Amino acid sequence: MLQRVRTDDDDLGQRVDAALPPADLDAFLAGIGARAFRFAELGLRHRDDALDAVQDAMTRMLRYRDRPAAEWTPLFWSVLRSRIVDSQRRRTMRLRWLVAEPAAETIDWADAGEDPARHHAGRDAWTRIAAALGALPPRQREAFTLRVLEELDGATTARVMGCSEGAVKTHLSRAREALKMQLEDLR
Amino acid sequence: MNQNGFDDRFDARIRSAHGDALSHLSARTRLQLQLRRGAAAGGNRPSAAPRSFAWPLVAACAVGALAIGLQLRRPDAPGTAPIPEPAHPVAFLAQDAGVADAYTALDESPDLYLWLESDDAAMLAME
Repeated sequence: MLQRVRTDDDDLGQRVDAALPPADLDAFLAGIGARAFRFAELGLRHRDDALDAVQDAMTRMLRYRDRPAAEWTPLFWSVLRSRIVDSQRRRTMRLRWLVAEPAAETIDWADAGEDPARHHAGRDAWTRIAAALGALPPRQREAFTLRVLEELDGATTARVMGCSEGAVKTHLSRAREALKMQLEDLR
Repeated sequence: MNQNGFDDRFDARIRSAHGDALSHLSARTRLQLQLRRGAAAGGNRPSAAPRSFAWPLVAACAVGALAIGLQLRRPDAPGTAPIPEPAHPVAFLAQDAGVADAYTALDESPDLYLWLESDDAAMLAME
C-alpha cells in the first residue's frame, strides 16, 4: 500500500506519494496531522475538540511504534475514528445533563493571502462541502472521507470502520448520492 | 460518460477542494498541531482529558453531601442532642383536674370566707 509522507509541516497541502514508508513514527505523525485534523473537524465541528482527538490518537499510536510502518495508516485512522466517536458520546452525555448543543464552529481557514478571490472561492467551496459531509450519517461520512479523500482502499477502509467491504460500498454509494444532491454544481 | 466517469469526476472535485483546505489551515491550528504532536510524543494526553471525570466527581460529591445530610436528620444519629419531650399530656390533664377540684370546693364551702372575715384571719395577717 502506498504511504503518504511529508517532509515538513510547512508543506501540508502538497501531498507527496511515495512507495517508501515514513522513516519513523514521528515522521508519519507529522505528515498526517493536517489530514487528521480535517477528518476530526468534520466529525466534531469544533476546533479544540478536533485537536484533542488528534493529539489523543497520536499519543495512542506510540504503543504501535514497533509495528511495521505499513500498518500505521490503518491503525491511525482506526484509533482516530474511535477517539472521535468517544468524544461525540461524551459530548452527548454532557449536553443531555446541561444545555442544548452549541452551534457548530466555522471551519478553520487561513487568512487571505495574495489572492483574496481564489482564497474566498476555496473557502466557500470547502465550507459547503464540509456542511454537506457533516449532514451525512456518521458511517456514510466516514466511508466517503476515508475512501475518496484519504484514498484508502476498500479493505483498509473496512478495517478502519470495523465492517465488511460490502458495507463500505453501500455507505459510500449512499454518501455520494446524498452529496450530489446537495452539491449539484460539483457534479 | 458512464456512471463511474461521473462519480470519478465528482470525487476528483471534492478531493481537490479537500487538498485546498489542507493547504489553508490557519497558522494557529498548524502551531497547535505541531505542539500537540510534541506533547503526544512525550506521552501527554490532551489537556481536556481531566474534564472527562469532572462531572462524575461533582455528581459523587453531591450524592455524598446528600447522604450526610440525610444521616444527620435521623433522630438516632450519633452527635445529635436529644430533643426534650414534654410531660405526658395525661399529667397536664390530671394537674388541671386537681386545680379545678379545689376551686369547686371553695365555691361550695362558705367556711373559708367566714374565716377570712373572722378576727383569727386578721390576727394571722398582722403577725
